[in-house]
Amino acid sequence: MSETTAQPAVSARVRFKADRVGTTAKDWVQLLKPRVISLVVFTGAAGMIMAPGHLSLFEAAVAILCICLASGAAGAINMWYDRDIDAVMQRTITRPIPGGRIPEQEALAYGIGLSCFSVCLMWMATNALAAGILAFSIFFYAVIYTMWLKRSTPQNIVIGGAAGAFPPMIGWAAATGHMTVLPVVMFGIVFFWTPPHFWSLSLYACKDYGRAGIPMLPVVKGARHTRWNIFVYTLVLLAISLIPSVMHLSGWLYTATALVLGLGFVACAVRVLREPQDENGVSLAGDKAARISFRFSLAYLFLLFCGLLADHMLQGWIG
Amino acid sequence: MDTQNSLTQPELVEKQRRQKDRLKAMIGFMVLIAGVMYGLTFTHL
Repeated sequence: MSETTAQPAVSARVRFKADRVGTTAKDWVQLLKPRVISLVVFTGAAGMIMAPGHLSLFEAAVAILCICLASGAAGAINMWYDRDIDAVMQRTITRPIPGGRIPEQEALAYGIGLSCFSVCLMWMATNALAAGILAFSIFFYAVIYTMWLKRSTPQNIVIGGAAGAFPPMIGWAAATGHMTVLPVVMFGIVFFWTPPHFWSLSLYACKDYGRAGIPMLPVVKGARHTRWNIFVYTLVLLAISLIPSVMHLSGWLYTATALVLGLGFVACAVRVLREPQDENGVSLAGDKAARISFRFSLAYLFLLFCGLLADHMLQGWIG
Repeated sequence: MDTQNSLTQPELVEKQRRQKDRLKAMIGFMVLIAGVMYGLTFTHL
């Protein structure tokens, strides 16, 4: 009797093997890369809200669900394909497949199944254009980026960044059924934001990428080259982010937000550039500046899109 | 069946707990999708 009552405490402490006791629901959720989904859903919703079209609240919720599922599906296919390199990188070794918690074939079937489902549902709920861009974004991330670019070129993040930049266009297409300048500019913002964001991370995760044989920029060209690239891309990003203002697609609130945030990002990049480093550009300060730049980049995108939305609402109220 | 027999008591408890969790998650997802399909049929008709 005493043994029976002690079971829950024992089971909580013991680390169980998935091949003996099965997978948890949490493992299947983890396969969808939930942290990536949150950013993708936010930018997709921003595109939908900015659009002049009219979706019912229910249709908008379904479209967001589709973006969620599609992003997760692409993430699952990415984890299936990258299972070999995930197993040697410290950052990814605990993922469900290298961790031995989900069989690889099941992960692939899950990813493909969710991809097809999300695209069909988007088509049914909204229109063919939104479903088409959604399908292309899954293909771009899973095939073009994961299977081709990631392991073959240090420009992997630059070109592959397009995969994560599609959601504002999908949201806009879902609401209107057509495409125009503003969603393409929003695509451009996320596209040019991706390289400095990932390169900041790769500066301090360089050894991990090197061990896995992924040709990230700091691994192939060195840290100093990467620091300059981060700086140049933040300048380009600042210019791209001001296009809505120049083209009179947004008002003063967005312009002020884009300027303040853009200059803040450039300041972070300058700090990355001027950080104490050895002759190869490797940080002597524990990559503190790169870590700050990475965290700032996350806040940057969120706040910039918030500024765009707030400006849009303000203009709506003014008339 | 052999695997089932060789499971220890804590493993058996954990296996049943995980099965219940997966079932709950699957039912939740199916209900969500059923709601979506019903809603789409309703709004698109």
